[in-house]
Parts: sequence; structure tokens; C-alpha cells
Amino acid sequence: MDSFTLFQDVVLLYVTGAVLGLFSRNTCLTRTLTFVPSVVASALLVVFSSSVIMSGKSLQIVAPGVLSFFNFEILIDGISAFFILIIGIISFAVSLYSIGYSKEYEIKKRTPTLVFLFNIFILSMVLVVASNNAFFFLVFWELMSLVSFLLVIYDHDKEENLRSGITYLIMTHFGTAFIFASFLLGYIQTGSFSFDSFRHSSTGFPLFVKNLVFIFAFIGFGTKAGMVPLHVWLPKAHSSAPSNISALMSPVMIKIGIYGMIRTIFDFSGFGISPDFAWWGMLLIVFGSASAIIGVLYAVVERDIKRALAFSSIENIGIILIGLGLSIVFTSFQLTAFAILALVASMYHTINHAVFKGLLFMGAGSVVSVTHTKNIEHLGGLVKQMPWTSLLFLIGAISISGLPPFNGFISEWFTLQSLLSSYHIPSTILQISIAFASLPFALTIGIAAATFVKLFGMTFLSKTRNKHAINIKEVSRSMILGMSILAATCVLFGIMPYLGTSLISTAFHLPSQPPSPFVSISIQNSSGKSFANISMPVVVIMLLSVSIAIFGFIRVLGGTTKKTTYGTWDCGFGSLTERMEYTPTSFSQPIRAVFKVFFKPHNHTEKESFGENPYLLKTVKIETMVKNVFEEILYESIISSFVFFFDKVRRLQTGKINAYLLYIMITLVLLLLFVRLSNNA
Amino acid sequence: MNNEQTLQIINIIQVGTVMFLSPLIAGIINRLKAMIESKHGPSIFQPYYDLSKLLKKEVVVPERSSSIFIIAPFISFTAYLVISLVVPIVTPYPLPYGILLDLLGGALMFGLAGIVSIIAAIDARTNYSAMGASRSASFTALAEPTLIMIFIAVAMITGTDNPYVTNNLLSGSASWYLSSTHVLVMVAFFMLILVETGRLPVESSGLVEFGMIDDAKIIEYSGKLLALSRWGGYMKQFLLMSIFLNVFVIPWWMSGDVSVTGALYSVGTLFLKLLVLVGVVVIIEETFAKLRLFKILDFLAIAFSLALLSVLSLFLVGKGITN
Repeated sequence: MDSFTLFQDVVLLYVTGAVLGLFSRNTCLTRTLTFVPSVVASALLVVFSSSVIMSGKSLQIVAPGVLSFFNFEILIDGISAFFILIIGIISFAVSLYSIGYSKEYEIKKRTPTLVFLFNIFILSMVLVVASNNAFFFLVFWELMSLVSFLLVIYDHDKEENLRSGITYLIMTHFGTAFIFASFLLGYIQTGSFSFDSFRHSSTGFPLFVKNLVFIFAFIGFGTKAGMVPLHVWLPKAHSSAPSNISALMSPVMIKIGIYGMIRTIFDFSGFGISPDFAWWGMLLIVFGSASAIIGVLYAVVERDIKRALAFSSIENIGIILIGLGLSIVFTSFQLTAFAILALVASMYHTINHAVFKGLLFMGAGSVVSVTHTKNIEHLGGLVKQMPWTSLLFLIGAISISGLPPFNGFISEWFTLQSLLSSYHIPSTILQISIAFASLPFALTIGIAAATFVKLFGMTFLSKTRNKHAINIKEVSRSMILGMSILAATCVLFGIMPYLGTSLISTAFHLPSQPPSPFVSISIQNSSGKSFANISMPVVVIMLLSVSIAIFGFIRVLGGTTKKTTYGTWDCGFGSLTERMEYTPTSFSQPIRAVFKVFFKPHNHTEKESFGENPYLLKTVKIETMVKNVFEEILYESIISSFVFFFDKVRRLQTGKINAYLLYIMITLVLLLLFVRLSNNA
Repeated sequence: MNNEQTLQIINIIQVGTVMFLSPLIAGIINRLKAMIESKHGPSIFQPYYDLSKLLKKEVVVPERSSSIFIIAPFISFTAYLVISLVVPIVTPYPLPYGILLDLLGGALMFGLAGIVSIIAAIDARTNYSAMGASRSASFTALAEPTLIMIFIAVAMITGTDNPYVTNNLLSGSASWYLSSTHVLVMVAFFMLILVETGRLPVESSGLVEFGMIDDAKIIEYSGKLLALSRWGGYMKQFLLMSIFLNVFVIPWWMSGDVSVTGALYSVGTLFLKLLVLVGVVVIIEETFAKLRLFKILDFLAIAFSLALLSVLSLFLVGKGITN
């Protein structure tokens, strides 16, 4: 099968899935069946994109005159194929997972709609990445945004979800407006909406147009990617959507924002080797490091498991943006070797984040589907009842913390290496700024680990704090299978980083890395001297063999000893209850205390005591809240200024006919004046 | 004996040094402390006696904890051993496994060991261990970035984050050794060692709820698993101190010969260097008061800022004093 037919089949299968979903009845069998097309289509997507990457031949389709003014153009080159591969991997796992997961919505009889929207959502993301024409790009972009909006408010019984939906709808259109502006600039310069014409003539744009194209694309795609301070929609939308949708939105959809940024910057903006463009990279680094640290700080104090994961997506987008920004800075100073390193770091983190965040969202979804609460204050002790989910979630948690031997380690290591290569940049100001950017990045790595220790530990370990959590069972097999696929990918990309780097360098046509998977990855500077290396396969073999050796060694040293299981020491109180446990809030309290300038925590204590003595307490009620600086200060002021402005505008609408006649009169006079004056000129 | 075999033997000597010399350093610290407090104190070999006794004792596992509780000490121990393969302890030249990880990889490997022990502490399901886990997670969240910043600073001086290259560069160039970047890095690293090894003014080792961190984490461990956790702690202390000495502070007096005698000579000099460092650490521990728990975070923040300053001074002052 050639790649064109394959692509057609994929599109047809998703459409079939959507139609099937729409017309099927709500039974267990059809629920399974309706997800089959998307499972197959996603698998084909993986095959298709990897064949495009490996063969190096891009797929181009032009259907002229579909609409009178625009050609329908599709171009899937290495970059598109790389992002389609991400979509394919994640949606394959998520489709499998959805078979079991959608059972939760069976009672509400809404699975058909879910299946329909699910398929259209994946298809729209594929088509956005594949489009080669600004008009169709925007059409599919809008389709993606609207379908995802419908999915966010899928659970529309809860008012909270509707609010999240509205925030999302407004923010995503704010972004789309800027993307539109960016493309319009290209149209004004070239007279065509085809990306090909942007590509060919963009180097000839005047510098200020190039800068404007970049700025608009940066804001527009940055909104979709969830960059601070345009991130407010992300935690709301991702926690309101059904978990299988969150597992698509957070790993994949926000990456489409990254795709748009890469496409615009490297393809259409006339970017080239010149220090004039260094500030683009710096802008990305500044916003990237701000996103990283702010995202992780909110994640660590968050009590809602899905919101915490969503905040951590903001953090990871920050890391991706830092890599991308460094790559731009290096390119603009013609430090090609480091530019490649930084780009590989950024893209490696893109695919890694997709994989482990998909895994974590599915894990969180499993927990929510059995316990019916997203609040980790009420979870805990699930490891006994849900051993598989716990194990898979743990793999995701260690991966996202950037610890060896999983995949997050590799991409964070690459990003660190590209950060510390910044001393090659021939500008002290830039060097110092990047040094300052490495500070929040280093902090992010540390706090991310604390975040996921807390999320995993407080959800799966310690004692059960939920009375509903006693009779729960492990989730269904298809859900575990879906998660295992992504967990296996985490391990694979961790112990064989060669796989990832060669994938990226082939897709982006970069000079490749060492030939064998067992050779260590070494990073070379411009003179060809290697300055850093790791060899993950050997590290993993060492870890495994040494730990087995240690086990035997300890056995030899100490002989066989008894193992007893016994209750923990309760200070003689009798039984310890879950109310005496360390809670997630108390767990992250030290970090909240350190960053209190940022969090502005609001603590409120109410005490009720027996009689006069203030020390004999009947009840104590402590309320603690963290302020969301962005929403409360930045957005509130914008919203209130809008309200103020339109309040003033409203005064024009008096409701009296005389006033309206006056308006018409004034307008008429003004228009006549205008015509008169312009005729004279 | 050919070169390859010699290197393998040196490798074993290096791992053996870390494993078997580390309890001695802990013993010496305890003895010195006791002597300053005008007590007789335990023998310097006490940690060995403790370990051998604990290894033979039965293990009590808290009910309702999962297998993570049992596996975690093994993982941490292994991580420390893997780190001991890749850092300059007995040789100034890289050993066969030296290419496994660089300094940043090593820093994240330390992170893995720490995180696994924190997760295990939550799994122990008592409030003391949860408290230890909470404190430890919060302090690690600042200590880990400090370590990374230190290594970034070093990498910027030398153009590589390979510890062996750093060692060679610093031992051969007085201007680098005396540069403000290097001095700041040393101070930051020293503060970090105090934090990571649980020394005053950060942490008074022992079971006092107000300040306990590491001891709280392992409070539910017993028998073999306790021995492993303790031993892992000794190794971590030894590794950090050796990296500090051999890479940053005293990069000299390591035998460059590729031979067993050369390696043994380096073990001897390392021991002497360690004695000096241990003396300094004990004096600090005996003369400083313990910081309040949340002041530790300020302490870490200072170390973190020093590491950042060292990077900045590299760009501002220029590379070294003379060149």
C-alpha cells in the first residue's frame, strides 16, 4: 500500500468510527465495536507516519479548486509525520483504553456522542498537521477547537464544567485570531494562502513583517500550547473533560500548538542565520522558563489529581519551549551543532511528554472511574486493590520526574546539555539571561519530582482516606492494556535513546547520531570533540545486574532471616485512623511555605472550645487556599476593564427612537463628509 | 596482566572502596564528635558492627505496605553503586564504565535514589515516615536543583560535564582553581554536602521529631532492609565527599599510573583528604546550633544562589583570573 492510500484509509476509518458511533445503540457490544475503527486507524497512522519518516519521501496532495479561491493542499513531510506519529501512538493507546473507560458513561446513555466526537477530534488533529494551506489549516484548527470544546463540556450536568468550557472557548479563539493575523500577513506579502508560497518567498519579507509574523504565531500557538500567561484555560479544560479525552488533549492537542510554532518559525517566517532573530529564541526561553516554574509550582500544591497533571503539562510545555528557544538562538549565531542538540532535546521532550502524560491521565482516569473523586485528599491506599494501575502510574511518575532509566531523564538531560552549551553564544547579555533561565529550569526538575512523589504516594500508597475506596476493584483489561502500551514506550524511549534521536534526526533531516543502539550517546561540539555522554542500555544493564548482585550479596552476608508482617507502632493509642494521616496538603506544606510570596496562601482557622478554656478544643476548622495570581490579578483586571468599557457603550442604547434617529443622522453626515473628502484627495 | 584487566581490577577496587570504606568514615565522624564533647565515644568500627548485626536480624514489614517498601532500599543502594563506577575516586583517568553517565546524569541518579526512598517512606504508612517523606521531598526539591546548577557551572568552566576532565583541568591550572567561579562552586557544594548528609546546622541526626528528616524516613525499617538503608546512606556521604574532594577541592595527589599500586596509592591519599574534610565537618557540627526546620530552606536557597552566582561570575569576570 502506498502512503496515499494509507492516508485515505485512515481518514475513512475515523469517519466510519464517527458515523458508527453516532448511529449505534448504547450496549456493551457496540461500545466495544465502535472503538475498533479508531484503534485500527490509529495503528495505521503509526505505520503511515513512520513509513513517511523512514522513506524520507513526503506525501503531497493538491486538489485544486475545491473552493473557488483556495486549493485543498496536503503536505506530510518529516515534521508533520513526526507529529502524526505522536497522535498515532497516543490515540492508539487511548482508543483501547476508551473501550473500558466509556462504560462509565453508559448509565448516562451518552457514549454514542462520545465516540462520534472522539473520532472527529483525532481526525481534525491529523488534518491540521497535514494541511498545507492556510485556509484549510484554520478550518481544521477551528474544527479541532470546537470539537474539543464540546468534549470539555461533555459532562454538562456540572456547572463547573460549563464554566471551564466557556473559558476554553474564549481563550482558544483569542489564539486563533492571532494565528489568523499571522497567516494574513503572509497572504498580504505573497498573495496566496498556500503554505508553499509562504515557504518560497518568506526570506524576502521585510524584517518587521518577519517579526510580526513570529509574534502573532507565538501568541496564537502559545495559547493552544498553554504557555504562561495564556494558560488559564488549560487546567480547567483538562480536568473537566472525560479522562480519555484529557489523555488526548494534554499529550497531543497542546503539541499541535508546538507544531504550529515550529512550522511558522522554521518554514514561513523567513527565519535565518542572523543575530536579528536571537530575540525570538530569547522570548521563547523567557516564556518557557516562566511556564515551567509556574506550572510546576501550581502542580505541587494542587489537590485535584487531574488539575495537577494539567498544571504539569504547562511545566513540560515550558521545557519544550526552552529547548526550541535555545535552538533558535544557536541557529541565529550559526552554532549548528548546538542548534541541532537543542532541537532534538525539545522534540524528544515533545514525544516523551505525550507518552507519559497520556499514561498519567489514563491512570488518573482509572482512579477517578473507580473512586468517583478527583480530590487526592480523599484517595489513598489504592495499591492493594489496583496493583496494575499503581505500577503503570509509578512508571509514568518516575518518567515525568526526569529520573533514570525512563524517557523523561533523556530529554531533560538533553535540555540541560543544550542549556550549558550556551556559553558558546558570543554575547554576554544572552549568556547571562540564559544562565538565569537555567535557574527556574533546575528548580522545575526538583519540584516536579516532589509533585509526582506526592501524587503517586498520596493516591496509591498510605492509608485509605475514602469510605468509597473499600470495595473497589482493578479496572478492566482494555484500560490496563492501553496504559501498558504507553508505559512500555516510556521504558523503550528511556533505555534506547538512540531510537528517539534517530527518529527525530531523520524526521527533521538532521545529521544523525551513532549507529548502534548500544553505543553511548555522545554530544559533540563544533570541533567534533565529544563533551558529554551517556549510555542508557549499559546503565540499565548495570542497574539490573548490580541490584541482583546486591540481593545475593546481602543474602550471603546475613544468611536467611525471617520476615514478619506486623502493625506499625501507634504510640499506645490503639488503632491509628486515617484522620491522623499526613494529607496531601500537609505533605506539600513546606514547599507552600517557601514560595509563599508566589502562592499568597490564605489561611483561616476557626476554633470552637469547651467553655472558657481556649485550650480545650471541641472543633478546629482550618481553611487554606492558594491564590491563583494570573486569574485573580491579570485576567480579572482585563475582564473588569472590558465590563467597564461596555457598560459605558451601553449608555448609547437608550431605547428612545429620537436618539437612534440622531445616531443615523450623525453617521450619515460623517459618511457624506468622508466621501467628499476622499473624492477631493 | 594487560591494560584491560588492570582497569577492570581498578574498577573493582573503586567500588570496593566506596562500599567498604564508607562505614569507617561514618564511624570516624561519630568518634570525633564524641571526643569533642569530652566523651569516650564508640569505636570507629562501630558502623561495621551495627551493619553485620542488622544483616542477621529479622525484618518486620508494616502490614498494608506494598512491595515498594522492600524493593526501595535495594534500588537506592544499587543507584549509589552505579554512581561509584563513574566518578573519580581512585583514578584521575576514566575507568571503562566512566562513559556511562556524566555529572548531570549522576546528579539525576542521586535523585532517583532519593525519590525511591521517599516513596518507600510514604508506603511505610506511619506519620513519622510520612513526615520524613514530606520534609525530604521538599528539601530535595531545592537540593537537587543546586546540584544541577553546580554541575552546570563546572561544565561551563571546562566545556564538558565529565568529572575527569574537570579534575585534570583544575589540578593543572592555578588560575582556574582560584577563579571566583570555582570558589563559589566549592562553597555551594560544601553547603549541599551538609544538607545531603544530614549534618548540623541542618539536621541533628537522631530521633527528635522537630528536626528529623532522614532518620524519620527509615523509621519503619528493620533488619536487613535497615542495614541496606544505613549502608546506602554511608555510601552517599562517601560519594559526595569524594566528588567534592577529588573533583573540586583537592584535585591533586592522585596517581595517574594505570596500575593497582597506583590505585591503592590514590585510595590512601583520598582517605587522608577525607580525614581533613571530616575534621572540618565535625567542627562545624559541634559549634553551630541547629537551624529551625524552615530555615533549612533558606540555607538551601543560599547554596542555590551561590551556584547561580558562580555561573554569572564566569560570564562577568571572565574565564579565570589570568587568562
